[in-house]
Amino acid sequence: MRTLGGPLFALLLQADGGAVPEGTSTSIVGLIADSSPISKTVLLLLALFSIVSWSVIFYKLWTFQRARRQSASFLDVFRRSNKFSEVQAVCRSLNESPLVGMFQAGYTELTAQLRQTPEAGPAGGARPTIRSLTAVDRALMRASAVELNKLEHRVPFLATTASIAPFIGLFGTVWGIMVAFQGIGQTGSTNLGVVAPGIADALVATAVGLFAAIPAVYFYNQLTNTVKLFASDMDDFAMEFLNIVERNFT
Amino acid sequence: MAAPAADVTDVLRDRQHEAGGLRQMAVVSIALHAVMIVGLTFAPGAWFAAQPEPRTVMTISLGEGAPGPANGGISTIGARAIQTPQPIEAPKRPDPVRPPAARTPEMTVPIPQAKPQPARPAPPVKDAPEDARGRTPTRGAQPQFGSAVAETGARGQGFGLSTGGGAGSGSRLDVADFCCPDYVLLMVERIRSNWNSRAEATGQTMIKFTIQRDGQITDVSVLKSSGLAALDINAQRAVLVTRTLPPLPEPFPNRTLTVDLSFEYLR
Repeated sequence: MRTLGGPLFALLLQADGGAVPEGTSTSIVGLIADSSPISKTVLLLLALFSIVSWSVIFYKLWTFQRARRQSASFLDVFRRSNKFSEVQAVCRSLNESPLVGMFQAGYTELTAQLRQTPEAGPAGGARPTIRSLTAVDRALMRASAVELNKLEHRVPFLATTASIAPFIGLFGTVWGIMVAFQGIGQTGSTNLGVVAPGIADALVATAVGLFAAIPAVYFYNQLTNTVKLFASDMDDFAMEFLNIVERNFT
Repeated sequence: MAAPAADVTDVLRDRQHEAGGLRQMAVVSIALHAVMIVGLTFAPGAWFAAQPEPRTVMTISLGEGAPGPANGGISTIGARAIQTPQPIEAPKRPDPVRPPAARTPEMTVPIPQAKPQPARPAPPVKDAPEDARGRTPTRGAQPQFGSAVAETGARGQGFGLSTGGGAGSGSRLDVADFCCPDYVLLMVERIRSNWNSRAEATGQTMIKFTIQRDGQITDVSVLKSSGLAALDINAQRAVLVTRTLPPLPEPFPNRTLTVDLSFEYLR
C-alpha cells in the first residue's frame, strides 16, 4: 500500500567558491608548460642537478654496501689465516674493500723489505726480519689516503647540490615574480586572476630547487658519516697489521 | 707465493681506479626522474588543487512540522516596515451662524384693476444624469487591510517555501546568507515537477549539481546513493530533465551555485 506523503526535500546549498578561473590548468605540469623560457631553463638545470645527485647517491650507497660486505669477509679471512700469502690470494676477489688496498700496500712493502735482506739471516731456520717498521706504517698511511680519496670521490657534489639548488630555484622564482609584476604593470589590473598564475608559476622553481636539495643534504650527511666509519675501520686495520708485522718480523 | 707488484706506488696506482657502476646508477636515476615527471603529468589535477570549502551551506527541508501560515509566502517577521497610513483629519466645518430674522413685510394694498395672471403649467421634470447621483464623499486614499500584499523586497527568516499558500507544508530552514530565496523556491519547484517521487522503495538520494550563471545545470552527479540504482537514476533524471533554470539572480555574487539536493522517497 502506498501512502502519498508529501515529498520530502532536504536541500543543501553551497555557494561555490568560484576562485578557479577558467582556462588555466591548475596542475603543476600545466604551470610549467605556461612558464617563460628563463624559468624553463632554471627547471631544466635543477632537473639535471637532481638527476646527477641521485646518480651519485645510488652509486655511493651501492659501492659502500659492497665495500662493507667485502671488508667484513676480508677481515674474517685475515684473522683466520696464518700466512699473508693466503690473504693476498683472497684479495683479488674482495677488490672493493678499502682494507684490501691497505693490506696490499703493506704486504708489498713487507715483501720488498724481506727480499732485500734474504742473506741477513745466516741460518735457514732463522726468522726473516724487516729493517723498518715505520716504512710499513708509511705505506699503510699512503694506501689509507688513496682509499679515503676513493671513498669520498663525488660525495662533495651532493654538498654542492644541497647549497646551490635552492638558490637556483630562488632565482627562477624571483625572475618569474618580476615577469608577473611587469604583467600587472602592463594590464594595469591587480586582479588576483592576473597576478596569481604568474606567481604560482614562479614558485614552482623554488619547489623544484628544494626537491633537488633536500635529498642531497640528507645523503651527503649520511655518506660522509659512512666514510668516517670506514676511516676508523682502516686505522684499526693499520694498527692490527703493524702489530702482526712487529710480532712476526722483528 | 703470489707475485705482488714490486712497488707500493704501483699497488696504490692500481687501487685508484674507481669501481664501475656509476653509469648504471645514472640510468637508474634518469629513469626514476622520468617516471616521476610522467606521474606528475598524468596525475589528476585534483591532487594539487585544494578543494574549496563551500562558503555557505543552506539546509532547507520541506515537509516536516506543521503547515505554515497561509500568507502567500510573506511572513510578518520577514516583512519590512512600510509606511503606516496617517489618519486623515476631517475638514473643519464652519461654525453655525444664525441668520437674522426676516423683516416684517410692509403692508400693501391690492390693485383692484389688475388682471389675474394665467397660471403657468409646471415644467416637465427630467431625470438627472446617472453621474449626478449623490455619493458618499471619500476622504482620500486610505489603505485598508485586504487580500492584497505589497512586495516590500524584504526577505527574512520566514520566506516561506509554502508553495501555493495554504497548501504549503511546513518548512524548517537554516539560511546563512543566500540572497534570493525566490530562486531556490523556483528551482525546487521545477525539479520537483520533473521528479517522480513515488517509487516502490524507500530511500534517500543526494544529487549534486551546479547551476551556471546563465542557469544551465551542469555536473549532475550522485553525491550519496540510496543503495538502489533505480532511485538514484530517477532522482538524477529529475535534475537532468530540468536542464535549465533562470539565470542566477543578480545579487548572488558567485559564478556558479552548487546545490546538494536530497530526494527522499517515501512509500
